[in-house]
Amino acid sequence: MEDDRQGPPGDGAEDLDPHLDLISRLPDELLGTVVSLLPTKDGARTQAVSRRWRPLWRSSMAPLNLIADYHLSEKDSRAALVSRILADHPGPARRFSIQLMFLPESLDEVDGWFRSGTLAGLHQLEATNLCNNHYPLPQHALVRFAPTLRVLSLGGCRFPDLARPPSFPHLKQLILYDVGISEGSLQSVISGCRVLQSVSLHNMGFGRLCIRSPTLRSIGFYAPRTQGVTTFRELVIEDAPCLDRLLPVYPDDGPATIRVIRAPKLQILGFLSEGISTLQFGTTVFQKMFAVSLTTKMYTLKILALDSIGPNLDAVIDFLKCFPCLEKLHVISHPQNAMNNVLKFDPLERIECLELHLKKVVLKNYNADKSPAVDFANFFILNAKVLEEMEIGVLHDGSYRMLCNSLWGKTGLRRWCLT
Amino acid sequence: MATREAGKKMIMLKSPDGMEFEVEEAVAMESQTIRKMIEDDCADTAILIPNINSKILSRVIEYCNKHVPTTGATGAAASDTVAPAALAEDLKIWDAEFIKVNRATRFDLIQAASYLNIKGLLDLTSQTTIDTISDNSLEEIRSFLSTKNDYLPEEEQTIRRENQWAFQ
Repeated sequence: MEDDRQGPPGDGAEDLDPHLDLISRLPDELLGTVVSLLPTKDGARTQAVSRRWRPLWRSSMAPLNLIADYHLSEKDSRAALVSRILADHPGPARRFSIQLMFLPESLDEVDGWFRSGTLAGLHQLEATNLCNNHYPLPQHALVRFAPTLRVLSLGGCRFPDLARPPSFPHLKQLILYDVGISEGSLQSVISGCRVLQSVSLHNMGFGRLCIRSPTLRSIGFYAPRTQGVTTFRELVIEDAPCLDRLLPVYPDDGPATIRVIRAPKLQILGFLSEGISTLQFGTTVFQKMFAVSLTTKMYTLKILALDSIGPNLDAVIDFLKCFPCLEKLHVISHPQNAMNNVLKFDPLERIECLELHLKKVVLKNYNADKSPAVDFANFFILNAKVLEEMEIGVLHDGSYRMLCNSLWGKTGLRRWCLT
Repeated sequence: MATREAGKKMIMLKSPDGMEFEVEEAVAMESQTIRKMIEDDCADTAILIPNINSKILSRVIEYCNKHVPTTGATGAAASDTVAPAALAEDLKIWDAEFIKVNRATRFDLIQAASYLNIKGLLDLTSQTTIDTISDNSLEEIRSFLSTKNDYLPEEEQTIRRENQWAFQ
Protein backbone atom coordinates (compact mmCIF):
# COMPACT_ATOMS: atom_id res chain seq x y z
CA MET A 1 0.00 0.00 0.00
CA GLU A 2 2.73 2.39 0.93
CA ASP A 3 5.05 1.73 -2.00
CA ASP A 4 3.38 4.31 -4.17
CA ARG A 5 3.58 7.14 -1.68
CA GLN A 6 5.75 10.02 -2.66
CA GLY A 7 9.28 9.48 -1.51
CA PRO A 8 12.79 10.13 -2.72
CA PRO A 9 12.96 10.32 -6.51
CA GLY A 10 13.13 6.96 -8.17
CA ASP A 11 11.75 4.90 -5.31
CA GLY A 12 8.82 3.52 -7.27
CA ALA A 13 9.38 1.08 -10.07
CA GLU A 14 7.26 3.08 -12.52
CA ASP A 15 8.99 6.29 -11.58
CA LEU A 16 12.47 5.04 -12.35
CA ASP A 17 12.47 6.83 -15.66
CA PRO A 18 11.96 10.50 -14.93
CA HIS A 19 11.57 11.11 -18.66
CA LEU A 20 8.53 8.88 -18.96
CA ASP A 21 5.82 11.15 -20.34
CA LEU A 22 2.78 9.78 -18.57
CA ILE A 23 0.47 12.72 -18.97
CA SER A 24 0.61 12.60 -22.75
CA ARG A 25 -0.85 9.11 -22.62
CA LEU A 26 -4.05 10.36 -21.02
CA PRO A 27 -7.01 10.51 -23.39
CA ASP A 28 -7.98 13.83 -25.03
CA GLU A 29 -11.05 14.05 -22.86
CA LEU A 30 -9.03 14.20 -19.65
CA LEU A 31 -6.32 16.51 -20.94
CA GLY A 32 -9.08 18.70 -22.37
CA THR A 33 -10.68 18.95 -18.94
CA VAL A 34 -7.38 20.08 -17.49
CA VAL A 35 -6.90 22.70 -20.24
CA SER A 36 -10.46 23.98 -19.80
CA LEU A 37 -10.00 24.43 -16.07
CA LEU A 38 -6.82 26.46 -16.46
CA PRO A 39 -6.91 30.27 -16.40
CA THR A 40 -7.33 31.66 -19.93
CA LYS A 41 -3.68 32.41 -20.69
CA ASP A 42 -2.35 29.21 -19.14
CA GLY A 43 -4.86 27.25 -21.20
CA ALA A 44 -3.79 28.87 -24.46
CA ARG A 45 -0.09 28.38 -23.61
CA THR A 46 -0.53 24.61 -23.43
CA GLN A 47 -0.64 24.62 -27.26
CA ALA A 48 3.10 25.18 -27.22
CA VAL A 49 3.98 22.39 -24.74
CA SER A 50 4.23 19.67 -27.38
CA ARG A 51 2.45 18.32 -30.45
CA ARG A 52 0.26 16.18 -28.22
CA TRP A 53 -1.11 19.29 -26.51
CA ARG A 54 -1.40 21.56 -29.52
CA PRO A 55 -4.95 20.74 -30.76
CA LEU A 56 -6.54 20.56 -27.31
CA TRP A 57 -7.10 24.25 -26.53
CA ARG A 58 -9.24 24.72 -29.65
CA SER A 59 -11.02 21.40 -29.35
CA SER A 60 -14.47 20.69 -28.01
CA MET A 61 -12.75 18.59 -25.31
CA ALA A 62 -11.49 21.85 -23.76
CA PRO A 63 -14.39 24.30 -23.81
CA LEU A 64 -13.10 27.87 -23.61
CA ASN A 65 -12.57 29.35 -20.17
CA LEU A 66 -12.47 33.10 -20.86
CA ILE A 67 -11.93 35.24 -17.79
CA ALA A 68 -11.49 38.83 -18.88
CA ASP A 69 -9.79 40.24 -15.80
CA TYR A 70 -6.43 41.81 -15.00
CA HIS A 71 -4.70 38.44 -15.37
CA LEU A 72 -5.70 38.44 -19.03
CA SER A 73 -4.37 41.90 -19.88
CA GLU A 74 -4.20 45.58 -19.02
CA LYS A 75 -7.53 47.42 -19.04
CA ASP A 76 -6.78 49.30 -22.24
CA SER A 77 -6.09 46.29 -24.38
CA ARG A 78 -8.59 43.94 -22.76
CA ALA A 79 -11.60 44.51 -25.02
CA ALA A 80 -9.56 43.99 -28.17
CA LEU A 81 -8.05 40.81 -26.76
CA VAL A 82 -11.44 39.37 -25.76
CA SER A 83 -12.71 40.08 -29.30
CA ARG A 84 -9.65 38.40 -30.71
CA ILE A 85 -9.93 35.27 -28.57
CA LEU A 86 -13.62 34.94 -29.40
CA ALA A 87 -12.71 35.24 -33.09
CA ASP A 88 -9.81 32.74 -32.84
CA HIS A 89 -11.41 30.04 -30.75
CA PRO A 90 -14.06 27.93 -32.46
CA GLY A 91 -15.93 27.19 -29.22
CA PRO A 92 -17.74 25.76 -27.37
CA ALA A 93 -17.17 27.67 -24.16
CA ARG A 94 -17.40 26.71 -20.52
CA ARG A 95 -17.07 30.01 -18.71
CA PHE A 96 -17.22 33.68 -19.68
CA SER A 97 -16.40 36.24 -17.03
CA ILE A 98 -16.30 40.00 -17.66
CA GLN A 99 -15.84 43.06 -15.48
CA LEU A 100 -17.81 45.68 -17.36
CA MET A 101 -16.68 48.65 -15.27
CA PHE A 102 -13.27 48.36 -16.90
CA LEU A 103 -14.74 48.36 -20.40
CA PRO A 104 -16.91 51.52 -20.40
CA GLU A 105 -16.04 52.34 -24.00
CA SER A 106 -16.73 48.85 -25.26
CA LEU A 107 -20.33 48.11 -24.32
CA ASP A 108 -21.35 47.73 -27.98
CA GLU A 109 -18.60 45.19 -28.38
CA VAL A 110 -19.82 43.38 -25.27
CA ASP A 111 -23.21 43.00 -26.92
CA GLY A 112 -21.45 41.38 -29.88
CA TRP A 113 -19.50 39.04 -27.60
CA PHE A 114 -22.75 37.69 -26.20
CA ARG A 115 -23.74 36.78 -29.77
CA SER A 116 -20.41 35.08 -30.56
CA GLY A 117 -20.70 31.50 -31.77
CA THR A 118 -17.68 30.65 -29.62
CA LEU A 119 -19.79 30.99 -26.48
CA ALA A 120 -22.11 28.16 -27.51
CA GLY A 121 -22.99 25.81 -24.67
CA LEU A 122 -21.82 28.24 -21.98
CA HIS A 123 -21.94 26.80 -18.44
CA GLN A 124 -20.91 29.79 -16.40
CA LEU A 125 -21.64 33.46 -17.05
CA GLU A 126 -20.27 36.18 -14.77
CA ALA A 127 -20.90 39.85 -15.57
CA THR A 128 -19.96 42.49 -13.04
CA ASN A 129 -20.45 46.21 -13.32
CA LEU A 130 -19.45 47.82 -10.04
CA CYS A 131 -20.25 51.43 -10.84
CA ASN A 132 -23.18 53.77 -10.44
CA ASN A 133 -25.27 52.66 -13.38
CA HIS A 134 -26.70 49.22 -13.83
CA TYR A 135 -25.55 47.51 -17.01
CA PRO A 136 -28.62 46.37 -18.94
CA LEU A 137 -27.93 42.70 -19.59
CA PRO A 138 -29.19 42.10 -23.14
CA GLN A 139 -32.28 39.98 -23.37
CA HIS A 140 -30.79 37.95 -26.22
CA ALA A 141 -27.83 36.96 -24.02
CA LEU A 142 -30.02 35.65 -21.25
CA VAL A 143 -32.36 33.79 -23.60
CA ARG A 144 -29.42 32.31 -25.47
CA PHE A 145 -27.45 31.04 -22.49
CA ALA A 146 -30.32 30.02 -20.20
CA PRO A 147 -30.61 26.46 -21.59
CA THR A 148 -27.00 25.54 -20.73
CA LEU A 149 -25.97 27.71 -17.75
CA ARG A 150 -24.86 26.00 -14.53
CA VAL A 151 -23.75 29.17 -12.77
CA LEU A 152 -25.10 32.70 -13.31
CA SER A 153 -23.38 35.49 -11.43
CA LEU A 154 -24.44 39.09 -12.06
CA GLY A 155 -23.27 42.23 -10.28
CA GLY A 156 -24.51 45.77 -10.92
CA CYS A 157 -26.66 44.65 -13.84
CA ARG A 158 -30.28 45.15 -14.82
CA PHE A 159 -32.06 41.91 -15.50
CA PRO A 160 -33.94 42.02 -18.79
CA ASP A 161 -37.58 42.89 -18.34
CA LEU A 162 -39.30 39.89 -19.81
CA ALA A 163 -42.96 38.97 -19.47
CA ARG A 164 -41.76 35.43 -18.75
CA PRO A 165 -38.09 34.94 -17.94
CA PRO A 166 -36.50 31.94 -19.69
CA SER A 167 -36.16 28.71 -17.76
CA PHE A 168 -32.74 27.55 -16.61
CA PRO A 169 -32.95 23.75 -16.69
CA HIS A 170 -29.34 23.18 -15.55
CA LEU A 171 -28.75 26.17 -13.28
CA LYS A 172 -27.24 25.13 -9.95
CA GLN A 173 -26.00 28.40 -8.56
CA LEU A 174 -27.46 31.91 -8.84
CA ILE A 175 -25.46 34.83 -7.47
CA LEU A 176 -26.89 38.33 -7.70
CA TYR A 177 -25.17 41.42 -6.33
CA ASP A 178 -27.05 44.70 -6.64
CA VAL A 179 -29.07 43.49 -9.61
CA GLY A 180 -32.17 45.29 -10.81
CA ILE A 181 -34.79 42.55 -11.00
CA SER A 182 -38.44 42.53 -10.04
CA GLU A 183 -39.71 40.18 -7.34
CA GLY A 184 -41.93 38.50 -9.92
CA SER A 185 -39.05 37.81 -12.31
CA LEU A 186 -36.76 36.46 -9.60
CA GLN A 187 -39.50 34.27 -8.12
CA SER A 188 -40.26 32.95 -11.55
CA VAL A 189 -36.56 32.22 -12.31
CA ILE A 190 -36.05 30.41 -9.01
CA SER A 191 -39.22 28.34 -9.10
CA GLY A 192 -38.59 27.47 -12.76
CA CYS A 193 -35.18 25.89 -12.08
CA ARG A 194 -35.04 22.13 -11.88
CA VAL A 195 -31.67 21.58 -10.22
CA LEU A 196 -30.97 24.88 -8.45
CA GLN A 197 -28.99 24.38 -5.24
CA SER A 198 -27.75 27.75 -4.09
CA VAL A 199 -28.98 31.37 -4.28
CA SER A 200 -27.08 34.44 -3.06
CA LEU A 201 -28.91 37.78 -3.03
CA HIS A 202 -26.35 40.35 -1.97
CA ASN A 203 -27.11 44.05 -1.69
CA MET A 204 -30.60 43.31 -2.92
CA GLY A 205 -33.86 44.76 -1.62
CA PHE A 206 -37.38 43.52 -2.16
CA GLY A 207 -40.86 44.28 -0.87
CA ARG A 208 -41.89 40.67 -0.43
CA LEU A 209 -39.90 37.86 -1.96
CA CYS A 210 -41.40 34.37 -1.88
CA ILE A 211 -39.16 31.36 -2.45
CA ARG A 212 -40.52 28.13 -3.84
CA SER A 213 -38.00 25.59 -5.06
CA PRO A 214 -38.03 21.81 -4.98
CA THR A 215 -34.22 21.58 -5.00
CA LEU A 216 -32.77 24.67 -3.32
CA ARG A 217 -30.37 23.85 -0.46
CA SER A 218 -28.88 27.17 0.50
CA ILE A 219 -30.00 30.80 0.40
CA GLY A 220 -27.94 33.76 1.63
CA PHE A 221 -29.04 37.38 1.44
CA TYR A 222 -28.59 40.94 2.64
CA ALA A 223 -30.09 44.29 1.77
CA PRO A 224 -28.41 47.56 0.79
CA ARG A 225 -27.44 49.58 3.87
CA THR A 226 -29.52 52.75 4.06
CA GLN A 227 -30.11 55.14 6.92
CA GLY A 228 -33.37 54.28 8.59
CA VAL A 229 -35.07 52.84 5.51
CA THR A 230 -35.76 49.15 5.22
CA THR A 231 -35.00 48.10 1.67
CA PHE A 232 -35.80 44.42 2.13
CA ARG A 233 -39.12 44.10 3.90
CA GLU A 234 -40.01 40.44 3.80
CA LEU A 235 -38.58 37.09 2.79
CA VAL A 236 -40.94 34.14 2.74
CA ILE A 237 -39.69 30.58 2.38
CA GLU A 238 -42.97 29.22 1.09
CA ASP A 239 -41.93 25.77 0.07
CA ALA A 240 -38.32 24.59 0.01
CA PRO A 241 -38.28 20.86 0.78
CA CYS A 242 -34.50 20.56 0.42
CA LEU A 243 -33.46 23.83 2.05
CA ASP A 244 -30.58 23.13 4.39
CA ARG A 245 -29.16 26.60 5.05
CA LEU A 246 -30.93 29.92 5.61
CA LEU A 247 -28.28 32.59 5.88
CA PRO A 248 -29.07 36.24 6.60
CA VAL A 249 -25.60 37.73 6.08
CA TYR A 250 -26.03 41.16 7.69
CA PRO A 251 -29.32 40.78 9.56
CA ASP A 252 -29.24 44.33 10.94
CA ASP A 253 -30.00 45.54 7.41
CA GLY A 254 -32.97 43.26 6.96
CA PRO A 255 -35.05 41.65 5.75
CA ALA A 256 -37.30 43.03 8.47
CA THR A 257 -39.47 39.95 8.35
CA ILE A 258 -38.52 36.36 7.61
CA ARG A 259 -41.24 33.74 7.43
CA VAL A 260 -40.44 30.08 7.01
CA ILE A 261 -43.59 28.26 6.03
CA ARG A 262 -42.10 25.00 4.79
CA ALA A 263 -38.43 24.04 5.05
CA PRO A 264 -38.53 20.53 6.50
CA LYS A 265 -34.78 19.95 6.21
CA LEU A 266 -33.43 23.24 7.54
CA GLN A 267 -30.22 22.56 9.49
CA ILE A 268 -28.25 25.80 9.57
CA LEU A 269 -29.61 29.25 10.43
CA GLY A 270 -27.93 32.58 11.02
CA PHE A 271 -26.96 35.23 11.65
CA LEU A 272 -30.08 36.37 13.43
CA SER A 273 -30.31 39.77 15.08
CA GLU A 274 -32.83 42.37 16.20
CA GLY A 275 -32.68 43.74 12.66
CA ILE A 276 -35.05 40.93 11.80
CA SER A 277 -37.98 42.32 13.72
CA THR A 278 -40.28 39.41 12.95
CA LEU A 279 -39.05 35.88 12.51
CA GLN A 280 -41.58 33.15 11.98
CA PHE A 281 -41.27 29.38 11.74
CA GLY A 282 -44.66 27.87 11.13
CA THR A 283 -46.71 29.26 14.02
CA THR A 284 -43.72 30.16 16.18
CA VAL A 285 -43.03 33.89 16.16
CA PHE A 286 -40.00 35.79 17.42
CA GLN A 287 -40.17 39.55 17.67
CA LYS A 288 -36.88 41.36 18.08
CA MET A 289 -35.32 38.00 19.04
CA PHE A 290 -37.86 37.13 21.74
CA ALA A 291 -40.47 34.43 21.27
CA VAL A 292 -44.03 35.65 21.46
CA SER A 293 -45.33 32.26 20.41
CA LEU A 294 -43.51 28.93 20.59
CA THR A 295 -46.01 26.54 19.09
CA THR A 296 -43.92 25.13 16.21
CA LYS A 297 -40.62 23.45 16.98
CA MET A 298 -38.03 22.71 14.33
CA TYR A 299 -36.34 19.44 15.06
CA THR A 300 -34.04 19.53 12.03
CA LEU A 301 -32.02 22.58 13.00
CA LYS A 302 -28.46 21.73 14.08
CA ILE A 303 -26.48 24.98 13.89
CA LEU A 304 -27.63 28.45 14.94
CA ALA A 305 -25.73 31.75 14.93
CA LEU A 306 -27.05 34.73 16.89
CA ASP A 307 -25.76 38.26 16.59
CA SER A 308 -25.97 41.35 18.80
CA ILE A 309 -28.06 40.22 21.70
CA GLY A 310 -25.88 41.29 24.46
CA PRO A 311 -25.53 38.25 25.21
CA ASN A 312 -29.00 37.72 26.44
CA LEU A 313 -29.82 34.44 28.05
CA ASP A 314 -33.60 34.76 27.88
CA ALA A 315 -33.57 35.21 24.13
CA VAL A 316 -31.15 32.32 23.70
CA ILE A 317 -33.36 30.02 25.73
CA ASP A 318 -36.34 30.83 23.53
CA PHE A 319 -34.29 29.70 20.56
CA LEU A 320 -33.14 26.54 22.33
CA LYS A 321 -36.79 25.68 22.94
CA CYS A 322 -37.71 26.35 19.34
CA PHE A 323 -34.85 24.16 18.06
CA PRO A 324 -34.78 21.14 20.39
CA CYS A 325 -32.07 19.25 18.47
CA LEU A 326 -29.60 22.12 18.16
CA GLU A 327 -25.98 20.90 18.37
CA LYS A 328 -23.94 24.05 17.81
CA LEU A 329 -24.68 27.55 19.02
CA HIS A 330 -22.67 30.60 17.99
CA VAL A 331 -23.26 33.88 19.82
CA ILE A 332 -21.57 37.07 18.63
CA SER A 333 -22.12 39.63 21.37
CA HIS A 334 -21.74 43.37 21.20
CA PRO A 335 -20.43 44.58 24.55
CA GLN A 336 -21.82 48.07 24.11
CA ASN A 337 -25.31 46.59 24.20
CA ALA A 338 -26.97 46.37 27.56
CA MET A 339 -27.02 42.84 28.78
CA ASN A 340 -30.06 41.32 30.24
CA ASN A 341 -29.89 38.03 32.04
CA VAL A 342 -33.12 38.40 33.97
CA LEU A 343 -33.61 34.74 33.77
CA LYS A 344 -37.09 33.41 33.23
CA PHE A 345 -35.49 30.00 32.97
CA ASP A 346 -36.77 27.62 35.59
CA PRO A 347 -33.87 25.35 36.59
CA LEU A 348 -36.34 22.50 36.99
CA GLU A 349 -37.62 22.96 33.48
CA ARG A 350 -36.26 20.34 31.14
CA ILE A 351 -35.03 21.79 27.87
CA GLU A 352 -34.45 18.96 25.45
CA CYS A 353 -31.68 20.75 23.62
CA LEU A 354 -29.65 21.27 26.82
CA GLU A 355 -30.33 17.76 28.06
CA LEU A 356 -29.55 15.82 24.94
CA HIS A 357 -28.07 17.69 22.01
CA LEU A 358 -26.08 20.90 22.51
CA LYS A 359 -22.45 19.85 22.00
CA LYS A 360 -20.64 23.03 21.11
CA VAL A 361 -20.99 26.68 22.12
CA VAL A 362 -18.97 29.48 20.52
CA LEU A 363 -18.99 32.92 22.17
CA LYS A 364 -17.35 35.79 20.33
CA ASN A 365 -16.52 39.29 21.59
CA TYR A 366 -16.76 37.90 25.07
CA ASN A 367 -16.12 40.39 27.84
CA ALA A 368 -15.35 38.55 31.06
CA ASP A 369 -15.03 41.83 33.00
CA LYS A 370 -18.76 41.86 33.25
CA SER A 371 -20.41 39.35 35.46
CA PRO A 372 -23.51 38.87 33.25
CA ALA A 373 -21.18 37.64 30.53
CA VAL A 374 -19.59 35.18 32.93
CA ASP A 375 -23.04 34.04 34.04
CA PHE A 376 -23.94 33.58 30.41
CA ALA A 377 -20.98 31.31 29.74
CA ASN A 378 -21.45 29.51 33.04
CA PHE A 379 -25.04 28.79 32.20
CA PHE A 380 -24.02 26.47 29.36
CA ILE A 381 -21.33 24.78 31.38
CA LEU A 382 -23.78 24.07 34.17
CA ASN A 383 -26.86 23.20 32.15
CA ALA A 384 -25.79 21.75 28.81
CA LYS A 385 -25.47 18.12 29.82
CA VAL A 386 -23.73 16.83 26.70
CA LEU A 387 -21.58 19.90 25.99
CA GLU A 388 -18.22 18.79 24.58
CA GLU A 389 -16.60 21.96 23.39
CA MET A 390 -16.67 25.64 24.17
CA GLU A 391 -14.85 28.23 22.12
CA ILE A 392 -14.57 31.74 23.51
CA GLY A 393 -13.21 34.75 21.67
CA VAL A 394 -12.24 37.30 24.35
CA LEU A 395 -11.99 41.05 23.92
CA HIS A 396 -8.68 41.61 25.69
CA ASP A 397 -6.06 39.91 27.86
CA GLY A 398 -7.68 40.96 31.13
CA SER A 399 -10.78 39.22 29.94
CA TYR A 400 -8.78 36.11 29.25
CA ARG A 401 -7.38 35.98 32.80
CA MET A 402 -10.74 36.61 34.40
CA LEU A 403 -12.33 34.03 32.23
CA CYS A 404 -9.83 31.45 33.36
CA ASN A 405 -10.47 32.36 36.98
CA SER A 406 -14.19 32.27 36.62
CA LEU A 407 -14.67 29.19 34.48
CA TRP A 408 -11.63 27.00 34.83
CA GLY A 409 -12.07 23.81 36.73
CA LYS A 410 -15.84 23.98 36.68
CA THR A 411 -16.13 21.86 33.68
CA GLY A 412 -15.52 18.41 32.37
CA LEU A 413 -15.45 19.65 28.81
CA ARG A 414 -13.42 17.63 26.38
CA ARG A 415 -12.15 20.70 24.61
CA TRP A 416 -11.60 24.33 25.45
CA CYS A 417 -10.59 26.88 22.95
CA LEU A 418 -9.77 30.50 23.73
CA THR A 419 -9.15 32.77 20.78
CA MET B 1 -25.39 -10.55 -3.95
CA ALA B 2 -23.54 -11.04 -0.68
CA THR B 3 -25.06 -9.57 2.44
CA ARG B 4 -23.19 -8.85 5.64
CA GLU B 5 -24.74 -9.36 9.08
CA ALA B 6 -25.14 -5.60 9.48
CA GLY B 7 -27.67 -5.76 6.67
CA LYS B 8 -25.57 -3.67 4.35
CA LYS B 9 -25.58 -4.81 0.76
CA MET B 10 -22.13 -5.85 -0.41
CA ILE B 11 -20.69 -5.80 -3.92
CA MET B 12 -17.70 -7.73 -5.23
CA LEU B 13 -15.29 -5.84 -7.45
CA LYS B 14 -12.65 -7.78 -9.40
CA SER B 15 -9.51 -6.35 -10.88
CA PRO B 16 -8.03 -7.88 -14.08
CA ASP B 17 -5.09 -9.25 -12.06
CA GLY B 18 -7.52 -11.48 -10.18
CA MET B 19 -7.92 -9.64 -6.90
CA GLU B 20 -11.39 -9.39 -5.40
CA PHE B 21 -12.63 -6.56 -3.22
CA GLU B 22 -15.82 -6.81 -1.25
CA VAL B 23 -17.23 -3.33 -0.67
CA GLU B 24 -20.49 -1.88 0.54
CA GLU B 25 -22.86 -1.13 -2.28
CA ALA B 26 -23.06 2.52 -1.20
CA VAL B 27 -19.27 2.80 -1.47
CA ALA B 28 -19.17 1.18 -4.90
CA MET B 29 -21.95 3.50 -6.05
CA GLU B 30 -19.70 6.52 -5.57
CA SER B 31 -18.68 5.43 -9.06
CA GLN B 32 -21.40 6.47 -11.49
CA THR B 33 -20.25 3.70 -13.84
CA ILE B 34 -20.78 1.02 -11.19
CA ARG B 35 -23.99 2.70 -10.02
CA LYS B 36 -25.38 2.34 -13.52
CA MET B 37 -24.40 -1.34 -13.65
CA ILE B 38 -26.10 -1.97 -10.32
CA GLU B 39 -29.21 -0.03 -11.26
CA ASP B 40 -29.42 -1.89 -14.57
CA ASP B 41 -29.13 -5.17 -12.65
CA CYS B 42 -25.88 -6.13 -14.34
CA ALA B 43 -24.15 -6.75 -11.03
CA ASP B 44 -25.51 -10.05 -9.78
CA THR B 45 -22.27 -11.68 -8.76
CA ALA B 46 -19.06 -9.74 -9.22
CA ILE B 47 -18.18 -6.74 -11.31
CA LEU B 48 -15.00 -6.97 -13.34
CA ILE B 49 -13.27 -3.61 -13.54
CA PRO B 50 -11.13 -3.78 -16.68
CA ASN B 51 -7.90 -1.81 -17.07
CA ILE B 52 -7.54 -0.94 -13.38
CA ASN B 53 -5.04 -3.06 -11.51
CA SER B 54 -5.56 -4.13 -7.93
CA LYS B 55 -3.11 -1.56 -6.56
CA ILE B 56 -5.01 1.34 -8.12
CA LEU B 57 -8.41 -0.20 -7.49
CA SER B 58 -7.63 -0.53 -3.79
CA ARG B 59 -6.69 3.17 -3.69
CA VAL B 60 -9.91 4.08 -5.49
CA ILE B 61 -11.93 2.06 -2.98
CA GLU B 62 -10.04 3.78 -0.16
CA TYR B 63 -11.11 7.11 -1.63
CA CYS B 64 -14.74 6.05 -2.06
CA ASN B 65 -14.87 4.65 1.47
CA LYS B 66 -13.80 8.02 2.81
CA HIS B 67 -16.16 10.02 0.64
CA VAL B 68 -19.30 7.93 0.84
CA PRO B 69 -21.96 10.02 2.60
CA THR B 70 -22.34 8.86 6.17
CA THR B 71 -25.73 7.98 7.55
CA GLY B 72 -26.97 10.63 9.95
CA ALA B 73 -28.54 10.03 13.34
CA THR B 74 -31.98 10.41 11.85
CA GLY B 75 -31.31 7.51 9.54
CA ALA B 76 -31.57 9.67 6.45
CA ALA B 77 -28.66 9.47 4.07
CA ALA B 78 -26.53 12.56 4.42
CA SER B 79 -26.16 12.78 0.65
CA ASP B 80 -29.23 14.98 0.81
CA THR B 81 -27.50 17.48 3.01
CA VAL B 82 -24.56 19.77 2.60
CA ALA B 83 -21.53 18.46 4.49
CA PRO B 84 -20.90 20.42 7.67
CA ALA B 85 -17.96 22.77 7.32
CA ALA B 86 -15.77 20.86 9.78
CA LEU B 87 -16.33 17.57 8.02
CA ALA B 88 -15.58 19.14 4.65
CA GLU B 89 -12.35 20.55 6.09
CA ASP B 90 -11.32 17.11 7.38
CA LEU B 91 -11.98 15.62 3.98
CA LYS B 92 -9.82 18.26 2.31
CA ILE B 93 -6.92 17.40 4.59
CA TRP B 94 -7.46 13.72 3.94
CA ASP B 95 -7.58 14.35 0.17
CA ALA B 96 -4.33 16.31 0.31
CA GLU B 97 -2.63 13.32 1.97
CA PHE B 98 -4.30 10.83 -0.35
CA ILE B 99 -2.97 12.52 -3.48
CA LYS B 100 0.63 12.55 -2.26
CA VAL B 101 1.55 9.74 -4.62
CA ASN B 102 4.12 9.42 -7.34
CA ARG B 103 3.33 10.61 -10.83
CA ALA B 104 2.65 7.16 -12.25
CA THR B 105 0.08 6.44 -9.58
CA ARG B 106 -1.50 9.85 -10.00
CA PHE B 107 -2.02 9.34 -13.72
CA ASP B 108 -3.37 5.85 -13.12
CA LEU B 109 -5.80 7.38 -10.63
CA ILE B 110 -6.91 10.00 -13.16
CA GLN B 111 -7.67 7.28 -15.67
CA ALA B 112 -9.44 5.14 -13.10
CA ALA B 113 -11.51 8.10 -11.89
CA SER B 114 -12.45 8.87 -15.46
CA TYR B 115 -13.42 5.28 -16.34
CA LEU B 116 -15.35 4.75 -13.12
CA ASN B 117 -16.82 8.26 -13.35
CA ILE B 118 -16.03 9.41 -9.79
CA LYS B 119 -16.30 13.15 -10.06
CA GLY B 120 -14.64 14.04 -6.76
CA LEU B 121 -11.60 11.86 -7.46
CA LEU B 122 -11.33 13.14 -11.02
CA ASP B 123 -11.43 16.74 -9.80
CA LEU B 124 -8.82 15.99 -7.13
CA THR B 125 -6.40 14.23 -9.45
CA SER B 126 -6.87 16.75 -12.28
CA GLN B 127 -6.37 19.66 -9.91
CA THR B 128 -2.85 18.52 -9.08
CA THR B 129 -2.03 18.67 -12.79
CA ILE B 130 -3.71 22.07 -13.11
CA ASP B 131 -1.61 23.36 -10.20
CA THR B 132 1.50 22.14 -12.00
CA ILE B 133 0.64 24.03 -15.17
CA SER B 134 -0.77 27.30 -13.77
CA ASP B 135 1.63 30.21 -13.63
CA ASN B 136 4.65 28.30 -14.85
CA SER B 137 6.80 28.82 -17.91
CA LEU B 138 6.63 26.33 -20.78
CA GLU B 139 10.02 24.95 -19.85
CA GLU B 140 8.91 24.37 -16.27
CA ILE B 141 5.65 22.74 -17.36
CA ARG B 142 7.49 20.36 -19.68
CA SER B 143 9.90 19.51 -16.94
CA PHE B 144 7.15 18.90 -14.34
CA LEU B 145 5.13 16.78 -16.74
CA SER B 146 8.21 15.07 -18.23
CA THR B 147 6.84 16.04 -21.62
CA LYS B 148 9.41 16.28 -24.38
CA ASN B 149 9.32 19.34 -26.62
CA ASP B 150 8.88 17.70 -30.01
CA TYR B 151 8.41 20.95 -31.94
CA LEU B 152 10.95 22.24 -34.40
CA PRO B 153 12.21 25.58 -33.13
CA GLU B 154 10.45 27.46 -35.93
CA GLU B 155 7.17 25.63 -35.22
CA GLU B 156 7.27 26.65 -31.61
CA GLN B 157 8.05 30.21 -32.64
CA THR B 158 4.98 30.24 -34.89
CA ILE B 159 2.71 29.03 -32.11
CA ARG B 160 4.13 31.59 -29.72
CA ARG B 161 3.68 34.34 -32.31
CA GLU B 162 0.10 33.35 -33.14
CA ASN B 163 -0.81 33.34 -29.45
CA GLN B 164 1.46 36.11 -28.34
CA TRP B 165 -1.11 37.44 -25.85
CA ALA B 166 -0.86 34.23 -23.85
CA PHE B 167 2.89 34.52 -23.46
CA GLN B 168 2.98 38.13 -22.25
